[in-house]
Amino acid sequence: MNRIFPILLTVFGLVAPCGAQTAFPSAVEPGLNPKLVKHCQPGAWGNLEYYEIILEPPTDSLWSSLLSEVSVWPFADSTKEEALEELKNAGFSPDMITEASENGIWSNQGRGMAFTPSDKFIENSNSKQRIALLELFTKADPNFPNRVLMNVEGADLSIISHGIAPETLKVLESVTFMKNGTLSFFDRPYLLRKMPTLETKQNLIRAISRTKGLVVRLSVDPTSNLDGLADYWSAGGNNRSILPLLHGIRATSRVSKIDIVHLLPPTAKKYLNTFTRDSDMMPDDSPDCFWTCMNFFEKNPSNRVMDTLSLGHYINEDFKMAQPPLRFGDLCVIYERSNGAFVHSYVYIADDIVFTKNGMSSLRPYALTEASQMLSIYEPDSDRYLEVYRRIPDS
Amino acid sequence: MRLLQLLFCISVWIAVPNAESQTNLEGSAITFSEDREVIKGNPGLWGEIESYYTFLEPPLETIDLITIPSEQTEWHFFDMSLLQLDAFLGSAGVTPQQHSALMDPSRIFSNGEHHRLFPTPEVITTLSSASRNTIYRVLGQWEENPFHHKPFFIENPNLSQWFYGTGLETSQLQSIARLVYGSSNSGLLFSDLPYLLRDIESGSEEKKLLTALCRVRTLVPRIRISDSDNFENIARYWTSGYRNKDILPVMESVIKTEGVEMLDIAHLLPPTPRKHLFTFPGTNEGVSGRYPDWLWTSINFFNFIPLSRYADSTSGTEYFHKNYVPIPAPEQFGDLILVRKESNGEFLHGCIYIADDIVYTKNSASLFSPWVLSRIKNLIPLFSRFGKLEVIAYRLEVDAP
Repeated sequence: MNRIFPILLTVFGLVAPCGAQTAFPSAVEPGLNPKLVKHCQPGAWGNLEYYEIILEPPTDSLWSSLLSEVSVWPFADSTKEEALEELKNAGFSPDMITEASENGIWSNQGRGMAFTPSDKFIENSNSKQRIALLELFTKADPNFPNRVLMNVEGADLSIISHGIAPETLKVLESVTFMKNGTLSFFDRPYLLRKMPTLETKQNLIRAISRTKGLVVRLSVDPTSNLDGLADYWSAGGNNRSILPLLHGIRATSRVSKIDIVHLLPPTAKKYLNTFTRDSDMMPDDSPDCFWTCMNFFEKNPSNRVMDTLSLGHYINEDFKMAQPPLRFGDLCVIYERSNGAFVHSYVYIADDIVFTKNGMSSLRPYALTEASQMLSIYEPDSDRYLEVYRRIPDS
Repeated sequence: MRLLQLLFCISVWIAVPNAESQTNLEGSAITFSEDREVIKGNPGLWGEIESYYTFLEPPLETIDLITIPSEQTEWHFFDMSLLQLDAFLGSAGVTPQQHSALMDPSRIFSNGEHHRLFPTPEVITTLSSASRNTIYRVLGQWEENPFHHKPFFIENPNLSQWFYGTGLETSQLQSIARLVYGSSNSGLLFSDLPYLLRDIESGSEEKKLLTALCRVRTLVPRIRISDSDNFENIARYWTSGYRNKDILPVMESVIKTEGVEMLDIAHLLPPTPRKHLFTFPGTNEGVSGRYPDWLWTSINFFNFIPLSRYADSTSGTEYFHKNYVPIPAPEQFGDLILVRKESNGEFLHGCIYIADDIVYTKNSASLFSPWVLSRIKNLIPLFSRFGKLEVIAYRLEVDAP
């Protein structure tokens, strides 16, 4: 998506609004292990509690090229000699350059020079070199990160470990690298080559695509300020469809917790915890973070968001700049400080909880998550800033 | 499941009996109380379900669409002479005094076989339940009597529970208790909104009353999926032959997350019904010129992108006949349950079987009808005023879109 971003006026620090803490004693309902439950800071959103779930794409949503075992590193218009020189500049030793030259496969089939490295070359590359390679490949193919790069949530391989053999994890660990606080790898084909069966390959893809989601519940008791809750969750009139249920809760004092799936606007409610379906894809684009944000309050999602238009087209008339405190439904956009380039957007829900779809990959679900968890895959140590926009009711 | 078996073993005969309406409003000492029952469902392939009731009231902008009627009650009778009307009222069991008051020439406007009667408040309040049932069922044939044609439905004979939290005055509740008809077993009906308006002075009070009368009860169910050994069966049930595969990631995750057992059923519905659950249709739902009705709601249960098919349209009927096959009884998530008149087979309603005795339903195309979860035993009486009913079941064909 080619977006042209305006010069921005207000700058917030790129800091999660506040941390999730155990803030109030609450009887955990039967059937839920209290150790799993986290509590948000109480606020205008009320008292929220949540637990994590891990979302994996279903096996049948794995498209065939995901299982390709051929590593293809792009060098665009470079000749083989020029590419080898670039590898040399990236810090590879003369032995490695020789390995690349003699045992790699170099081809140019009209889409620029492509290099298929040997396993030995991959295995002997270190983290620093992988970071340099990523910069090279991104320069040669700006879409390389979207297509190939995998970022590990929480910069911690434990999210992947469940159901994966220790030796596989060890191989995975060997090809990861840390860049600006994000743990990444781009050697998926190499990993797949190490898997013995189709099933283990599919399981690996599902595992490395894992995303943490949250099941969040709002506690309601006789002391709850239901008018205040209605005001917060209806987002100044943008989310009125939830009011009947909230008013119903008012008249049902025995209701102690309500899943906030019921407090999301219709479209977000529909997509929550699902993966992108074919029916939402376009030839050259697919729903991403921005699509998710712009359609958050829409009754029905519009693929107009996938057209090549400026950011201003979407927000100038329908949004206004927002100041803290953030409110349910606020559009949060992260920009590179150096050039104002768009990095990521998400929807603020409450406390540290956001609604997001991380990237256009259909391996990434629409989910509620902790802001810090989401930001972990967007190089949080980079120099970036956050802008917040608030939708104007009935815009 | 036992209820379902009972329902489907026999052709269901549910009529509005003439039994006296029974409410718990005895005397004047009314204490509003709420329905605190936690309903534990029968365990089955779906796991175990616990539910509670809550109420949905239409948003104020929808209430504002109602044209407030006059406080003078007006009855329209058609296709009968004045003599026939007189005879009908006599046969309905009204007292001689009521009969005289109803046939008072100064309170009848006749135009051929169309008669407008303006019953006095005294007649309205003193009709016996049997007379009220008889007269109001006849009035309900004609849409010119809007509150008899589509009466307010009260599922719970305990009116203080039903109206808990609405802010209605005790006197209003007592009036409603006097005027409801139907039966406490199959649900109470209320048509005398004009009478209640007599004691209301402000617009906001009118809206409060209308909001209370328009409230709809819904179940809020949660599923207990603690039995990881049985996960495959439970997952197979809720994914319904993979039609509902979107919920697999959440189910798998919950079952893998040690200590998490209860999950709101909304997470297990397909995307489209999840989107609409517990909401009233907005005006945006009518941009195609039609508002979603029971057929739209039912056939789009598994459709990610809803199709414009409606109960009274040829395309809706064709879609149904092309894609659904009859089954003996609903036993699979997503089965279609149809309610029809036994006399002529006319379909009155359809809804989607969820689990145990819970269905997903939208009970009319009205803006006042939200998408809810209901128990079959509470839903069927909604249509009992149409006489003998049959309840039948259908299933989406395996290769249907």
